[in-house]
Amino acid sequence: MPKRNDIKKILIIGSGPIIIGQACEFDYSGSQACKALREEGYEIVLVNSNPATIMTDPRMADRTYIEPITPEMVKKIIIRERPDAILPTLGGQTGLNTAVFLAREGVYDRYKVEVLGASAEAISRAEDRELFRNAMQEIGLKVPKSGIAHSLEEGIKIAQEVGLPTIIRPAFTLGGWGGSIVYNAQELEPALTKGLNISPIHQVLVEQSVLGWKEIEFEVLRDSADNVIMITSMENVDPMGVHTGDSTVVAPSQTLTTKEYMEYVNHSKRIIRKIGITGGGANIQFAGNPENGDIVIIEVNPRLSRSSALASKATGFPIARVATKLAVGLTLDEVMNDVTGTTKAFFEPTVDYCVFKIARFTFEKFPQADPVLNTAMKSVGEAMAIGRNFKEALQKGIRSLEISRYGFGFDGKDIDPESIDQVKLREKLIVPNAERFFYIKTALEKGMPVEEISNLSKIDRWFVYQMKEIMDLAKEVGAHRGKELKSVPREILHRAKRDGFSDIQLAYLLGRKEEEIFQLRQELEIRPVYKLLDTCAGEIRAEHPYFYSSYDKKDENRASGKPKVIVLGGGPNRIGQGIEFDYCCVHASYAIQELGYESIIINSNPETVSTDYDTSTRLYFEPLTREDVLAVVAAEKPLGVIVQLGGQTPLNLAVPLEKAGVKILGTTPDSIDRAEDRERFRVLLKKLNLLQAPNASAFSFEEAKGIAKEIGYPVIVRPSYVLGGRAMEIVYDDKELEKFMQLAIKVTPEHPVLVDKFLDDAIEVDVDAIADGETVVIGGIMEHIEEAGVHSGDAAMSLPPYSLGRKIVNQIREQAVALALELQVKGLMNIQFAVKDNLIYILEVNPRASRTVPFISKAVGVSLANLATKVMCGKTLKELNFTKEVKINHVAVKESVFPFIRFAGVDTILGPEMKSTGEVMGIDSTFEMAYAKSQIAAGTNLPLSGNVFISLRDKDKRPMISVAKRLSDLGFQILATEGTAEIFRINDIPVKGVLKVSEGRPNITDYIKNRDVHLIINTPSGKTPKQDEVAIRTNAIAYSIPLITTTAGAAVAVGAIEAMRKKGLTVKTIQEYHSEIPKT
Amino acid sequence: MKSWIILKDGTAFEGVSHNLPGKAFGEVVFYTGVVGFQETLTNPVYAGQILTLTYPLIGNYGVNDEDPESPRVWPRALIVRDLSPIYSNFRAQASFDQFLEKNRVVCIKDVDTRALTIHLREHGEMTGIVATDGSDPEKLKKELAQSASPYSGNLTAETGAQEIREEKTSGRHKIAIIDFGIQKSLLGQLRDLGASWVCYPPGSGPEKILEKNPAGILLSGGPGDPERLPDAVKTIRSLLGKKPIFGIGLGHQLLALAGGARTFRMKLGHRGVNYPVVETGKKQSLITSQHHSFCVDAQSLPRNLAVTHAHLNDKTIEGIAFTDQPAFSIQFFPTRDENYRPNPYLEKFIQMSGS
Repeated sequence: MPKRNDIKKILIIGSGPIIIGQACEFDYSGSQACKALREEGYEIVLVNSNPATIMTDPRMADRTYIEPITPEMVKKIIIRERPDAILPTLGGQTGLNTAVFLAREGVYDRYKVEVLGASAEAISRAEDRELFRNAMQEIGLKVPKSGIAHSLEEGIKIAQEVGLPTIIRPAFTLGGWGGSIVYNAQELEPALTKGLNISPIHQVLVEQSVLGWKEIEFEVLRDSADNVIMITSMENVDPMGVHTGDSTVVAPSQTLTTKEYMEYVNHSKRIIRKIGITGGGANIQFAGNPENGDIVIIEVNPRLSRSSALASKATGFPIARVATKLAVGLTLDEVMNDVTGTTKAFFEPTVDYCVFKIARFTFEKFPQADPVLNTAMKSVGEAMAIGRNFKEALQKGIRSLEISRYGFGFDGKDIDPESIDQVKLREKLIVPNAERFFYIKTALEKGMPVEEISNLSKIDRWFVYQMKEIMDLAKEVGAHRGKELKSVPREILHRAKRDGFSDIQLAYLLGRKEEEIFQLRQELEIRPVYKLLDTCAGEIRAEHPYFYSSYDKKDENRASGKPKVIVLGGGPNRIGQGIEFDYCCVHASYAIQELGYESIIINSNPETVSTDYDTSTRLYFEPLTREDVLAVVAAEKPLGVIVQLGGQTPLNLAVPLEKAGVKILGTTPDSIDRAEDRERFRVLLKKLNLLQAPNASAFSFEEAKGIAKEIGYPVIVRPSYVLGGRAMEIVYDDKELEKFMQLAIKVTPEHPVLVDKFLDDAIEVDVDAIADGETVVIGGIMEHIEEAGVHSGDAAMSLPPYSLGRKIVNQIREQAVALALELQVKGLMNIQFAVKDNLIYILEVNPRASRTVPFISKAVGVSLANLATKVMCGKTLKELNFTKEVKINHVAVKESVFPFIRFAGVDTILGPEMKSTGEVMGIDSTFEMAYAKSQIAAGTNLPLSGNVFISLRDKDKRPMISVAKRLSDLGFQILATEGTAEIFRINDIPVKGVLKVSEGRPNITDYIKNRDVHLIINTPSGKTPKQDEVAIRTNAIAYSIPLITTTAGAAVAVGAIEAMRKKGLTVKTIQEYHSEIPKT
Repeated sequence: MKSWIILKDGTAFEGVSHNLPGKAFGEVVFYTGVVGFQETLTNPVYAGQILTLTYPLIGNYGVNDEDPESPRVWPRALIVRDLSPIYSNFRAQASFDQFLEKNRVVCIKDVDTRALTIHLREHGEMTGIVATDGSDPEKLKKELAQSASPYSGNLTAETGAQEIREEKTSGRHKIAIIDFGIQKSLLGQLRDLGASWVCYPPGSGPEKILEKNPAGILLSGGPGDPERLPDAVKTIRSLLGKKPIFGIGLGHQLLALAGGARTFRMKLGHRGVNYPVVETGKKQSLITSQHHSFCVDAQSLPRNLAVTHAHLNDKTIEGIAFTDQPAFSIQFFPTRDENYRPNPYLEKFIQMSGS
């Protein structure tokens, strides 16, 4: 059936900031959808608050709103744009929920907007637990025994019927958020309360536990002619009970016979029909009893999802692209399979490899959090690896994770089997955790039988056996330790490479250096070949496949003789390394192609746009390690490699790659080292006559103590070479310093600890610039809103600065230019300044793309990453016609988004350690409105009236008087604990006293739980927070009450509230903002 | 032991012998499914062939007595990349290894099966030898040059019914099956449709087949080149018009030949479970399971033969119907639908054969 001609303008809702459970995969899906619709000639209106996405690039849609994704704002956009249709299935749970709320409010009826892809009814049938259960029962499919509860009493009653353990699943939430496993009666009440609170419709499913069953997923697509195809099966290695986002997943399934497999396929086809999706896809999650094959349906996502992104990358079938075409009426047999280029999308992909997805956790960032895996997702990213067998894929997957592990152990970082007793080991196998594979290895090492490990972990024995085979082979290799390297049989080495062993592992097993193994392999001609991911297991010649390495015979690499440039991607998302860098890599790829070269991307992150089949000329789905990158370089022979756009991962490879003879494009590794090495950096700043906070390096506690005494506390301490402020802390005395040193030295023994004077109350400024060695152009100058001490990745920022004087800004500009020229930067550079008492200090210089590059690019309408890539490829900024800083008339505010809600009990105070997962942008004509939008977009619903609770440390009391006054004048009721209340009373501000937690009841937490507080301003009293404060802050998060923890933040928040009260929120496209930028 | 696959064009692929030392000659083909290995190996349409599995991990879920499509393994040899020494599935009764050994299948593993697949794709399917007995590759090449393709013989003599077999069920619809190598799963569907049947050996004449006055005649699938079965074609021709006829796979090709069309050997056959088929005049299309290298030639169709189904991509004929007779056929295997109901074409045939 041809595409719909009765609709012309389509609104797409994005997914907003990156949060746990909703990452780059929705940018990937959304970008594909935008492209797919534009090809068909539709006009696209897009809303997404996340500036770091490719989909919000001005050229992706006709009209792009970087505005908060709330029903209120989307409604404003609908009124302004009057689209014919809305596509709600691309924006994850955020987009879907917004769409459902708008439907319930009758917005679509009123403005004649048709819902494409999945109707509001279909969405409800999948998302509403009760409707879903009924629908499944109508087609005779089993769901776990369960009941729907809208209240605590109801929930308790159902739990008694279902029996314990039971699973609590809140309706309409994302990534299992608010869900829990309840093992005993005591845990039930709090779990129900939490679930009911978190569900936007206050509904939870109390469900029979199928813990330990297999978790199986299928992706299916259906078109308007009722054609249904199955894209792939996915088998979770981890059993039911671990959220699939946290599970290790293989595709296709490995332990299902045809009969069971077909049962799942048939169920999936019946489900997508029953749910009523008429042009789109669904992800269906099953639990299968490994004892007898019983199948129950766990849930259905009637939209693009993390799993659909994984299924796309695993098979080569672009689900989002095809689903979008189906949504506008095309049928599967009318859509091309772009990977083969000659066949249609109506078929079922098949594979001749094994795909392995493994989650990346960041428990190290949240030491107070319980590192146990359950039904609520906790991972922040994932890596995908492809192998010709499971063992190869597993080992490549682990070394893709960027956790300094190079496979299934044997890398010098293994758990010492002697250090762990049987009881502890068994617990680590029974209770799912992020390190479980390594404990399985330890168990195998200690001689625990495969069967027993499988019984304890509920991980299928087939998978455990594969791990045992890796162990056995490692032993075989290890037997040659101490012998002459040449005497190691080629056959054993080859077999080890086939099973995914890295050179680092082999070097460890043989007691050699990585380079020696590499050399030996060259002599023995054991080199990887590249196989294709082509959707069809080789049956059809594919025009646009992508590549993975294996140690098979035939090399299918299609390296051409044309000039080409390799861009190294960023690997799995984690805190400090997210979508911003992928955005830069994608732009680099486009820029390289614009210059007439071929672009080659190497990356291992399946969620990203950079690993889409049509982003680069050729894509290599490989781990980002020295060995894997060198192999691609050998196959492709590029002009050079770009390492400065993908964040710290590729940057860390700059020196090893250069040493191996690879040409690094752009700023030289030596310049990078001049900026990163503290000693060389000090010399550099001295030469340029620039200021630095007093600092020194220390190798021991005594040394550090001496330095701190000299420069005075507080000091910032951190190990050298860090990413995202990892292990960085502000310490106020010797005792804290000692504690830090013990931990930090353990983290990185080979690097010294840096001790810097902490500039209390300074204003931080971030500058991104682009340079070609001669010309330096400032991309943007951003003033932090929080005082110094908050990691720049966590801070809110304003572009342009909102409080700094012109003189200071000009000086900052001059200093940035001087640094870029001195470092001979070719490409991007980020500088962090601190301004205190009218003096400008340099905190850090990073000669690479920073997290703020996409934010600035969106604000000023210039792709800095594109220009920087062209500079790295030899163009000058003059040639590129970019020689002047862009001055904007509007204001853009970046705000960060945090995962605290996922880690119960973790304090929310910001510091030098980065904790945010994502960001939003608020854009408007004034700073106040832009800030207000940034807060709404980040999920902080600043109230326009109500009760404000204020609790301050002494030093903040004075500056907060005026803020409290303004709030009071706006009609807010101020609540405060005694110490703070007293100050307000003295200053004639009406205030109501509230008890502290320790003072009896009702106290402040009761107010929070009763939702009698609408805004909380609570500044931390010191490094070690008081019990009271933590209770306030964690409750604020749990009950979604806006929480401000800095005085600067409070002041601008009040400004925003004033502005919103004066003038309502309005919406405007990024294209309009850009067109208003004065041409110079 | 180092072992070889030698193709007719002289290309050699290296592997390791799995268990049995042996040697097998046949047409080298590949199957692209990610499941269905036991079913495929026991499917009679693979007689005379050397089967390559493109999915690299085989044996993970073991074997059982429930899933085979026939009592024995048909391919003359099996080519795989990785064979799992252990298995995990609640229905498994034995390992894949034991299954291969019991059926005395020559098996070569550690082969770059993708390289072989691509070679066949680019150069066409051809005969080959798998040797796991240490034979010298040069000798094998010579041997290969002297061997005739299994397609040149009548493979159905082996795969088809050896004698007349009557299945007594309570079914109301009496069907005659010309059994060129029928699959168990098809009989199960017939049973569910209320059919009872008599299977006749491929060489049976029309009188024999009509003897019990069946309500319809089903031409089963089977291996090999349909043009090598002139007797069967003759039989079918004389049955045309007398009873409703439904052909599947080889049976479809034979029906076309009986109607006066020709068949040809494809450069590359279809073997897998993901083939898109468009039915003329219908919006909804089909994803089908196919296992064939011969195909009905669209140019050769007489006027009274209509194309009812075609492959979406290569446009080859996937189904035909006589415009003047109650006879039709499909190239693909009629699988059950998602509700486990028997295949609609099979159902249509049974309805046509209704008293």
